[in-house]
Amino acid sequence: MTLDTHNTKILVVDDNPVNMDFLVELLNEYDVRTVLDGHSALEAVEEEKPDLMLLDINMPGLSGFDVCKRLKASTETSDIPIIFLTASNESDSVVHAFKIGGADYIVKPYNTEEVLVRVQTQLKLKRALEMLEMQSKFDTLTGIPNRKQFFHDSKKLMRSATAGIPFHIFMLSIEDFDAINGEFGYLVGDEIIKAVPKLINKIIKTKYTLYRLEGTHFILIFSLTEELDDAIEWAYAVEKASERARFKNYEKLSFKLSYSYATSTKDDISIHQVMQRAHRKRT
Amino acid sequence: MSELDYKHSKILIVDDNPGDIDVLVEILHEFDVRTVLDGESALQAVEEELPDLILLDITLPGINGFEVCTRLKFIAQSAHIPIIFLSIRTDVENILQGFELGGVDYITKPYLPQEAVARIKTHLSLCRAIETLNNLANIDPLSGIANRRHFFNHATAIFEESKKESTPLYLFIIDIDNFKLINDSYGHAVGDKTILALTNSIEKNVSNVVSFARLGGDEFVLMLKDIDFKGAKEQLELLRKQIATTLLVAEHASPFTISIGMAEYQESDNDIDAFLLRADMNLYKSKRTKNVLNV
Repeated sequence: MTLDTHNTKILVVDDNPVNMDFLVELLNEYDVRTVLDGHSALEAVEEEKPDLMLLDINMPGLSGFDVCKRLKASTETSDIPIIFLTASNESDSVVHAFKIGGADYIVKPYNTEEVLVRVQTQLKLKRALEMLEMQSKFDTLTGIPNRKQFFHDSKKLMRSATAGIPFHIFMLSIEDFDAINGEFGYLVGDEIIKAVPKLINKIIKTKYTLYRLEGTHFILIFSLTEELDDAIEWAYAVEKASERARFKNYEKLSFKLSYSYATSTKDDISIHQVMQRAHRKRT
Repeated sequence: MSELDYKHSKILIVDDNPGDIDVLVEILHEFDVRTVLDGESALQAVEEELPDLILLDITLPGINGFEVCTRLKFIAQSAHIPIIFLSIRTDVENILQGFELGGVDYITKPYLPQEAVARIKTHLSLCRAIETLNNLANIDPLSGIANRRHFFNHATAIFEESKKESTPLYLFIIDIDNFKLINDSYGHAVGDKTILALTNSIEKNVSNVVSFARLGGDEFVLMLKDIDFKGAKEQLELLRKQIATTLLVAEHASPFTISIGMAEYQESDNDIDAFLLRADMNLYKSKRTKNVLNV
C-alpha cells in the first residue's frame, strides 16, 4: 500500500523546540503541524483532524496522557493513532501509554529509521481501515452506497414508516442488460452502470438517496416529505433521460432505466415487503 | 480493532535462547504460537506452514536472523509475511539493517510485554486489512466466489499455461434460465438465493475446477483441467439435470434450470477471449431451447 505523504497530516506535540525541529525535518515529506503544549494540541485537532499524532508524554499543563485520554474519549477523535514520545523507556509510563490507547511509542534520542517506520506503519494501518470502511459501504464501480448500506439504512426508514412518516421506494433497473453485454461486451456494460448515478444526479433536483442493490438494480429513496406524484415525475424524467443518453464511440448503444415503486405503510413489517410491492407494480 | 480475535493468528518465534522463548510464549498466549531454535528450522517451519507473523532473533546458530529474513523475502510465498526483529543488539547499524532487509519493526531486548503485543497486533491488523481489501476487489459479495475482474486475471494465466503445455482445458459458461422472471415473480431476495443455490451446487458437485467465477448477473464461468472431454462434459450434464429436478430454492414453485455453453481448448484459440467466445456461442445456442448443454 502506498501513502500519499504530502496529503497526510501529522500533528507533533512537544514542548521542546529542539526535539520538535528534529522531527519536523525528519518528516518533511508529510504535511506536519506542530504545537508546544496539550491545550494547543486539543485545539489543533478540533480545527483539523490529523491522520496521526506524535505526542510527548511530559509537558507542562496537560500531559500527553491527558491529551490522549480526552481524544480517545470522543468518537470524533478516537480513531487518530497516537505515537508517544518519551525521554526514557521507563516501563510504568510505557505500560500506561498502551493502556490508555496509545498505538506505539518512540524513545529519545530518536533513531531516524525507527521513527519513520513506526509512523509509516500506523498511517498504513489507518488508511487500510478507512478503505475497508469505505468498501463495506460503497459500491466499487459507481461509488454510491451499496446493498449492505441500503439494508442498514432501511432499518431507520422502517422505523419512521411505523411512526407514520412514509417513504417512497423506487426500484430502477436497466432493461435488457444481457443483450447490451452480449453485443458490446462487459466493459461497455460497466460504462452504462457508471452512467446511471450521474444521469440521476443531473435530472433529479430534490433530495434523494441512490443505492446500487446488485448488478443492474438500483434503489432510489425520496426524502420523507416528497409527494408521491412528484417522485413519480422525477422517476419518469430519469427513464426518459436514460433513453436519450448516448455514449462516445458507441453510436448504437442505448439503454432504458425502467422503474417500479411503492410507498411504505404503517403495517409494513420489513423492507422486503415494501420492495416486493414495488416489484409487482412494474410500469 | 481491539475486539479482533487473534487465537487463529499464527506466530513463529525464532530464538536460540529457551528462556527467552518461554517468556515470549507466555506473553503471546492469545496467539497461535510455534517456536524454533535456529535459522534452518525457521525456514523449514515456514515452508511447512506459512505463519501470519515472525518474531526473529538476529543472533542464531548457523544462519543468522538477517539471513533468514533475506531468504524469506526472496521467496514469493513468504515475502509478504511481516517480520519483527527481536534482539539484544541496540546499535543503529543493526537496527538499520533490520529495516533495510524488509523487517517491519525492530524490538530491542529487554522489552515490555505490552510493546511486543501492541506491535504484533498492529502488523497482524494491517495484514488482515490488506487481505480483506484484496478480497473485496476480487470476490463477488453475493456468491462469495471470484468476480469477473479476478476471473480475467486468473484465467488468462491458466489459459496461457495450457497453451504452452498443450494440455486440455475446458470452459463452460452457465446461465440461469428465465432469471429475470424469477426476480420479477419472487423478488430479489429469492433471486439471490437462486444464485447462491447454483454456486453451492457447482462447488459441491463439480471436480477438477481450476477457475470458477460469477461473470455478472446470472452468468457463471467455470474452467476444468486434468480431466478428459467426456468426463468434463458428463459432470456438467449431471449438474444440469440435478438442478432441473431438485427444488433447490424453497420459495420457487418448481425447480429452476440452467443453460450451458461448453468449449474445449483448441490451438487456434489465440487468447482467452477467443476461447470464451466459442463457449458463449454455444451458450447462445443452448438459450434457444433452455435447460441444455451445447458444445
